[in-house]
Amino acid sequence: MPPVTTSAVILRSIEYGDFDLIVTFFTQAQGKRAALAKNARKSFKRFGGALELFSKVSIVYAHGKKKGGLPLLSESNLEQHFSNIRMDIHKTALASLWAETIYSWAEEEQAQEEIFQLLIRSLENLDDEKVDRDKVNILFLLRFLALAGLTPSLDQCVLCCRSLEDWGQGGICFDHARGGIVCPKCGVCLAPGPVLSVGAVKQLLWLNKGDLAAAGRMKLSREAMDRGRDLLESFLAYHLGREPKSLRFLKDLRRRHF
Amino acid sequence: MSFYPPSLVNLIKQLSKLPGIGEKTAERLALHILRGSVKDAQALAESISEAKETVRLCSVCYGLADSDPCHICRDATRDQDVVCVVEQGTDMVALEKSGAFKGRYHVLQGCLSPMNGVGPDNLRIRELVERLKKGKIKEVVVATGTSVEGESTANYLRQVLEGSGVKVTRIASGVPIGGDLKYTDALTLKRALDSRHCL
Ligand SMILES: [Zn+2]
Ligand SMILES: [Zn+2]
Repeated sequence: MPPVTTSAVILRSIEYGDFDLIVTFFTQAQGKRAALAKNARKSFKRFGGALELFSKVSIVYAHGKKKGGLPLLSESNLEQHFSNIRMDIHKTALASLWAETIYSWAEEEQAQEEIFQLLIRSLENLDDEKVDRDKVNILFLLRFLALAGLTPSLDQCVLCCRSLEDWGQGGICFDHARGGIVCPKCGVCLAPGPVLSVGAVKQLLWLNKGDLAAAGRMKLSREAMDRGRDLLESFLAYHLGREPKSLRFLKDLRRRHF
Repeated sequence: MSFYPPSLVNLIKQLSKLPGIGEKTAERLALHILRGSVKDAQALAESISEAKETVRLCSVCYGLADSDPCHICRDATRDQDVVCVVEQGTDMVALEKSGAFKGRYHVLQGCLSPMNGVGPDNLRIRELVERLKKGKIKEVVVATGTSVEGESTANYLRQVLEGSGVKVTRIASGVPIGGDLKYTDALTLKRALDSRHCL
């Protein structure tokens, strides 16, 4: 394999042996890709600060002579470092949730340009002190689920297809198993998620329509933010088949009012 | 390996459980021990069991110690006003080697790591807060690592300790001594500039 040069975001990094790191990247060219960074822990010279979680880097890697082994990372250059994220535990936890989500969902060696761009935009917005971090998270989750083919159905009952417009007021139950909202007439949820008001569901629908910039300017009610977030996070966990560790960490932070 | 007598095979097996030691290296180490004197072999065996029996965590700073409180926490000549917070006992050893710090320590036993499920309750953060409540400490120097998780742990501590009346400082980070500016990454340079001082 000739060396690959690509932009990438660092999703995860684990220590390997005494001196090395195994770094998992979400690369623009080949999707999820792990590579061995030799001596990354012994000498700071080679990679400098360019192997830090969530950083956008430009990397070069190639397969060594050994068959089936990890590709060797020969270069990593910092492109964007998102320094406000690392200075804030809550933002770090959100970025961790996204990285963990992509890490467990993405297949090795399959480029996902739209998700790559979504991740970069979301990290930029999270790094921006003027943007509400919870809204960035809701937007990331909405868009990610859509790109992963898991758009939650929010505009009509998943059972009888009655439009949300005809439901009147009252709580709406989201059914994880059926992937959408269930109207009061159809009744029972198989895997009940959070209960939302009609208003909150409508706000999520609006949010999902515009582009990221327009959505970023939208004002959301506190209820739409909190319940919408709960819905998307639990829907994500339902589809990953487990609650991501970062999500458990985030919930703990929220309980502590961070 | 089955050519060796069972007791030697067992020694090789035990040694190869150590990190970074494969069967080949374990075999070499075992044969080396056998070639050495009985006295050396006994000293090795005894030091392992002695360390295992006596070394524990200091109940004040949570560093490795063979007495409780540890020799640093007991040392009256050290500054009692300043506590340096580190991630691991090995960080404390590194600072001690530098000789640059004369206060006391607090070892968190790790740093916050959302992806690895390490939350505030998994670290010695509550113990730090309790320690500060006793009122002797005037400054906390946060010396967690400069990785994303080390930095955000520092940020978490700053928020937790806000309003405790204790001054919270962070060690500076920047260009390493002997480092070449043109090989230094943008983030490190930015940090070095942010924490510049007058000459
Ligand atoms: Zn229905
Ligand atoms: Zn101690």
